[in-house]
Parts: sequence; structure tokens; C-alpha cells
Amino acid sequence: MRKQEANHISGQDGMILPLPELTDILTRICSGDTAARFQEIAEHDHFRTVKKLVNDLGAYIEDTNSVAQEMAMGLCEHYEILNRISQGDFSARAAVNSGSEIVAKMGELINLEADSLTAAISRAKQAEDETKSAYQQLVDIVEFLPDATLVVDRSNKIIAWNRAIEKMSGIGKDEMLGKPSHKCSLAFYGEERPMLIDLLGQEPDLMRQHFTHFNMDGNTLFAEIFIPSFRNGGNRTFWATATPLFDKEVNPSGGIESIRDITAYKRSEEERIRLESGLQQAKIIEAFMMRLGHDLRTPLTPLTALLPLIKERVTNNPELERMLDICRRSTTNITKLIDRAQALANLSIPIARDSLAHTSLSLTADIAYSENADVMAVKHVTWQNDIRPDVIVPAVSEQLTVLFANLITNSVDASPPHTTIRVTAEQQDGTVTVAVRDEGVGLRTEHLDCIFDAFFKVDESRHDLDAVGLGLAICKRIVLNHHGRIWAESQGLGKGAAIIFTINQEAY
Amino acid sequence: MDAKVMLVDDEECIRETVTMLLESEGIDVITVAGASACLQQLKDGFRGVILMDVMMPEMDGWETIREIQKAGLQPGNVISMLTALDIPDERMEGLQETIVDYITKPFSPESFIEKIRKYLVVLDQLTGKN
Repeated sequence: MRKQEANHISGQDGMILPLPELTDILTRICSGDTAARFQEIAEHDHFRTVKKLVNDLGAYIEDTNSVAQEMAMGLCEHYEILNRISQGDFSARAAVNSGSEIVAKMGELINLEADSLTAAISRAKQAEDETKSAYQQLVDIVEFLPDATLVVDRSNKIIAWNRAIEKMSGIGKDEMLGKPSHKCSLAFYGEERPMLIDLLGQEPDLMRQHFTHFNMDGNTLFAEIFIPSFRNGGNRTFWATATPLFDKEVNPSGGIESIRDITAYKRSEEERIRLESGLQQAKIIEAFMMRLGHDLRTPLTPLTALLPLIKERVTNNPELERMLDICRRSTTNITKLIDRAQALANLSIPIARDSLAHTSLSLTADIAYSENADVMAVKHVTWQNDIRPDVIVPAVSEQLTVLFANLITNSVDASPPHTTIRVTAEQQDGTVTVAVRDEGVGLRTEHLDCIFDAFFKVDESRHDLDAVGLGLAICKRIVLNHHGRIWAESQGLGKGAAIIFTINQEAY
Repeated sequence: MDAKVMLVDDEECIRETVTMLLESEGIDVITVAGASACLQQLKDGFRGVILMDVMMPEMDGWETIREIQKAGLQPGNVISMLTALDIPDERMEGLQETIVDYITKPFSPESFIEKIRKYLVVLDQLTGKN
């Protein structure tokens, strides 16, 4: 009751006025409690209209605040979305269902901008990915190039050092990347000196100072480099090429150098040139020998054909008959000499790989023996073939037959009656060593090496016209044609001799 | 024309040797020094054994035989090459049907006569004699 009294000021008519309550409600509304209201306004209440007005004012202020708050909240949300987008969350989108038309419109605009930004960023990312992919591909290409390759930037610092150059130089990329390019010369030359890439854009005179064999094609440099004892090994020959690199504005951006070890190629090229030269020379010799043979055979024909007729017509004149015999033998020997010289000339032509055939050494030796069998029978010289039948070698079988035949003839000539000629073969590490041994006159040590020389005769004083001195030279040529070795062994005069040769079991 | 053998060889010593060898066996022979004389003999009616040298200065033996074929003078003849080379060379290609044999210089009198007699037998068979 005291409180009620305190809150109601009595009027002159004794009415209780609601001023404190009115003040309270207004104060609350003005202080932000926009929901404060007179809860009941009776019909008879004093200040009824004022109360209603206060309530209307409160409602108006509350409505106005609500819209402002909604706008503020909407703006805050938009701010949050913009913040997320700016921090890289390109999937963030603003709400467009705000009660505030302005806020909703703003949300739509933000989303439009965000969509556009997302598309642009996606395109940029795709382009970046493609660039990265292309760069990686380039790096991979350089890395896996079969040729040793280094790349330098515009300040000649090494920026790529691929696997092949790691293997060639023995130096890993960790050690070389970022180093000046001339530093890698240590790995190649054993000293610091310009690499080819260091001479890009330089005058030819400078090139000449450092490279004996070089060439230029526009900006690109080529050089052949011979390095003795490369990395403390054998002599190597390299082929290097270097070319400058440019950026898209055509400004120099570095250079690239590739190095190839062409040692094997150079050797095979030298071998090819040697063989071609040998072949050319052999052809000239063969043509010469053919011509010489022809020109000698023609005048020999009357001698060969007519001497027997002359002898038939000589009677009772032993001295003349003897002279005619000498002439006939000489004629026969000249013919043999021509035949063998031509055979030797023919053998000068290197063997083509495709003319090699699997050849049985034992069988070939027996075929060659059969050509000498009659003479051996007359001399009572025995043939002993100890070569296993399964010993097969790649060879020109006709040449191998001639080889055995000449060796057997040589042994037969040196063999006294009732002796044996024995042929053996040993296989070791893909090489067959064949020996033809006799129990004949033997050889002096000083003759062991020269008996294979053309026209060499062991006994010069003998002037044996039957031995033309080319048989063993032909043997040597045949063995060399088959990439083998041939030599003679003898314990001395009267102790027999052996001619030994090797032949590869692998085709060459 | 009685001769049954014609030797075509540019070397006089060969021509003389062959003449002596064959005449000693009773075989008539004519010798010529080159292709043109050979062709002339054939045009004049020679038919028999032709011994053809390979290497000759004017026209070699192979070309001469092709000229004989071209002129239609080959029928009725037996041709053998007389060569100082090891074997007839690749230029013989295509002439195997025309050439019956070859004789390599130098030759022994026995082997030479034996071959000529064989050619004469072939000639007789060719011309229907025998």
C-alpha cells in the first residue's frame, strides 16, 4: 500500500494519477527496453490516451530497432562471408533471404562477385597447374634425357644436372646445382676451364683456344673433345653441343649443353675406315694380281703346252731331256707361284660377317688331309686327327680347308718317312687352339717368327723350286681373316715342329 | 671351209701354240686375233668349235659372243672360253646356255686335246652327224 501510494500521486479530485508508471515505461523504452508497455489500459483509466500513445511509441521504436538490428546482423553476416572469401574460402556465399531488401540485394551482389572471383581464380589456378605441369614435364625431360645435360641460368649458375651427366661425371646434382658452370669442367677435364656452354655468344677465336674441333650454327656451338685418361680411365671422345635459352621476350635466360660419349662410335668409325681402306687396297692388289696372273699365264701357255711335245721328239739325248725336265719343272712352279700369289691376293679381302658358317674343325682337317693322302702314303707318313667332331667354329670353310691343306703340306714336306702328323684342338674361353705337329726336321728359333712371311724359305741355299714360300703366308692371312693368331713352335732342328693357330668360337 | 676349230685370241704365241697342238693331232684350225675377224669368219660360213679368249683389247670374249648372238651367227657352233683367269667372271651371266665349257691357261697338251675332241663330238651331235 505504501508503495502504491508512493507511485501514485493523488490529484486534486483525489484521483490517483499513474505518473510514476508512465515515467517508468517511458524511461525503459528510451533506455532500450523497447518492449516495455502498459499492460492493461482500462476504459476508465486516466491518461488512457497517453498510455496508448506511450505503448504505440514503444511499438514504433521496437519495430524500427528490429529492422535496424536485422540490417546490422545481415551486414555482419555479409562481412563474415567477405572475410572468408578474402581468406581463400571461395565457396562461401552470402544469404539472400534477409528481411531487409538492401541487405538481401547486397548478398546477391556479394555472391555475384564471389562467383566471378571463383571463376577467375579457377581459371588462374588451372593456368598455374598447367604451367606447373609443363615445367615439371620439362624438368623430367631434361632429367631423363639420354645425353648428359646441364642447364644454366642467365648468370651461368647450374639449374639442371640430369641423371646421364651424373653418371658420366660421377658427380651428383646436389653437388652441382647452383654452382657456376665452369666448375663442372673439373669432372671432365680434371682442371677448371671453360665448358662449351661458357663460350655461348663468344668469338670463334676463344672457341679455338679451348676446342680443336668445333663448329657453329647460328647461336649453337658444337665441339668434339678428346680427353685422355678420362676420370683416370681410358681415353674418351665426347661430342658436345650448347645452345642459348631465351625467355618469351627473347632476352637471354641461360643455356643448355648436352654431352655424348662417342668413343665407341669413333672407334667403330676408325675401324670402318681402316677396313674400307684395307678393302680398297685389297681390291687394288687383287686387280693387280689378276692382271699379272693373266699376263704371266699367257706366255706360260706355249711352254706348258709345247715342252712335252718337244720332249717326245727328243730321242737318245739324255742331256737335252734333262734340260727339258728342268724347264718343265720350272714352268710348273711358276704356274703354282701364280696360283698361290693370286690365292693370297684373294685372301686379302676382309671376310664379310654373313659369309661365316658353322664349320667342323675335325671334318675340315680330314678333307684337307685327303688332298695330301697320296703323297703321305708314298712317304709313309701317318695322319692322326685328334680333334673332337663336336668342335665347331664360325669360319669360311673353304679358307679353313686351304689353311689345313697348306699346314699338312708343309708338315709332309718336313717329315721323314714313318713319322706321324698329328692335329689337335683345345677349347678354352671361347677360343679354340689348333696345333698341327710333325716329327720332321724342326725349326731354328730365329726362324720361328719369319716362316709366315711371304716368300720366306727356311733353307735359302737349297733353292727348292717346289717350295714357293707362300703356303704359310696364306695360312697366316686366313687366320688373320678369322681374327685369330698363328705361330710356330719347335725344340730345334731335328726335333719336329708345330704350327699352332687360334680361332674364335664366337662370331665377330 | 674344212677347219672345224676357230681360235679367237689376241696373243700370237697362243695362236701359234694352239695351231701346232691341233695340227699335230690332225685337226684343222683357223686363228683370228679379235672380234671383228671372228664375226667375219662366221659371216663367211664358219661353223664349228670356237675357242674364245676372254681378255682381248678390241672387244672382250663376252661381248664378242653377244655380238655373235645378235647377228644370229651362234647356231651350229660350240663355244668354249679360253681364259687365263681363275674362273669365268660374272660377265658370263646369261651366256651359260651358249658356252659349253672353259679352258684355263696354261694347259697341258693332253688335257687340251682331250677337251677339243669332246667339243668336236658335241659339234657332230649338234649338226646331226654321227
